[in-house]
Amino acid sequence: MSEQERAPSGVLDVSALPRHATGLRTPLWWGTVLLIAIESTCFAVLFNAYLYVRNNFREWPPDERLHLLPGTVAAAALLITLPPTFLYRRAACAERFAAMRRWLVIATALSLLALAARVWEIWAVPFSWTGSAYASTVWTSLGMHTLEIVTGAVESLYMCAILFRSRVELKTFEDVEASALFWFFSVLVWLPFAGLFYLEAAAR
Amino acid sequence: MFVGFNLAFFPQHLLGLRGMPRRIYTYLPETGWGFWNFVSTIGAFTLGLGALVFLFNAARTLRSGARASANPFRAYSLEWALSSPPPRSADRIVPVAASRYPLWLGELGRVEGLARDEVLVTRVVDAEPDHVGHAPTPTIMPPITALATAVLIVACLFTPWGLPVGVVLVSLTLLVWFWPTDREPAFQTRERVSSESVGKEVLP
Repeated sequence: MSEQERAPSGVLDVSALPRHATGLRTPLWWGTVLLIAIESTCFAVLFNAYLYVRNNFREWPPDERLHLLPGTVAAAALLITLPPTFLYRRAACAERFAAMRRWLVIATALSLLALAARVWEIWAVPFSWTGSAYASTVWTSLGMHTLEIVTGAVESLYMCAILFRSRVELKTFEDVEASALFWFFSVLVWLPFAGLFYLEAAAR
Repeated sequence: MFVGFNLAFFPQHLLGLRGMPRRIYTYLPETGWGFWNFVSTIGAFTLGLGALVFLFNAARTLRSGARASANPFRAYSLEWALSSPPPRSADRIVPVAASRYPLWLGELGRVEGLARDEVLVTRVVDAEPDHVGHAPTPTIMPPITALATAVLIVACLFTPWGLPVGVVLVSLTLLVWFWPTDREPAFQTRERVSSESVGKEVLP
C-alpha cells in the first residue's frame, strides 16, 4: 500500500489485506530463523569443544575407533529425508494442500527411519561417555543432535495429525513451512560433526 | 538520591582495591577502612533521605496535586499518544505514523478493519502493511507449561531421571497448547483435496 492509497483522514483500512502469508513475510519465519541462529551457536560451541580438547591428547582419538558403517548409514538416512522435505515445503509455499500432505507424510516416515538409524549409531558407539574428554564431547554432540531430530520428527508427526483432520486452518501452511526450515537445519548441522568424527576415526 | 547513591557506592570501589572483602559488617580499625566506610554511611543516609522526600512527594501529589495531561512533556513518540490514564486494551488501537516524530509533525493516523484477535503484520524493511495475522486465542496452557518446566527443574535437583521425564512432560503440555483451536480461518480438507485434483486436470 503506497502513500497515495492512504485515506486523507489518516484512517488506514486494512480489511482488504490477505489474512495469511508465507515465507519471510511471516513473523513465524523470522522466529524460526532466529531459533536456528541460537541452535547454530550451541552446535558451534560443541564443535569447538571437540577441537579444543584435541589439543590435550598426543594420540587422537584416545578411545576405541567409532564404527564407520552405522555413522554413515545414519547420516545418509538423514540426507534422504531432504528431497521430500524440499517438496512439501514448496507445496506449502504454493498452498497446494494435497501435495504438501503427501510429501510431509513421506518425509515423516523417512525421518522416523533416520531416527532408527540414529539409535543404531548410538548403540554402536564403542566407548562410554566417562572414558575421556574425547568420549564426552562425542556423546554430548550426538545426544544434543539426537534431541534435535527427535524434536523435528515429533513436530512432523504432529503436523501430519493436524493435516488429517477434517478442517485445517489456513495458517497451517506457514507452520508446515517453518517445520521444513527447522528440519533442513537439523539435518545439515550434523554433516560437519559426522565428517569430523568419522573421518578422524577412519584416518587412523 | 543521585548524590547519595554515588556517595554510598563509589567508596566501595576504593575499599575493594584496598582489600576489603564484600558482605562483611565489621572489621578491625588497623585495616584503615574506616574513613571510606564512614563516607559511604553518610551517602547511604543521604540516599535514604532522598527516598523519603520522593515518597512524601508521591503521597502529596496523589492527594492534592495537579492532574498531568496525557503528554505533559510534549514528547513526539507514540506511547504519549494515548489518553491518561490509558484506556483498557490500548493495544487494540493501532496508530499510523508517517514520520519519526508523529506527535510533532502532522496528525496521527489510525488502522481500521481489524477484527478481534487480529493483528497487523507489516513488511520488515519499510513497515508498510502486508497482511493480517491472528493473535493466539486465550488458553490456560502457558501457566501449565510453566508448572511442568518447574517440575522438570526441581526434579533434576533430586534425580537425573528428572531430565527425560520432565522433557516428556513439558513436550506434552506444548503439544496440547499448540493443537488447533478451530477459531482461525480454515478450509475443509476433503473439498480442498478434490478441488486441487480438478485443478490439476485443467492445467497442462
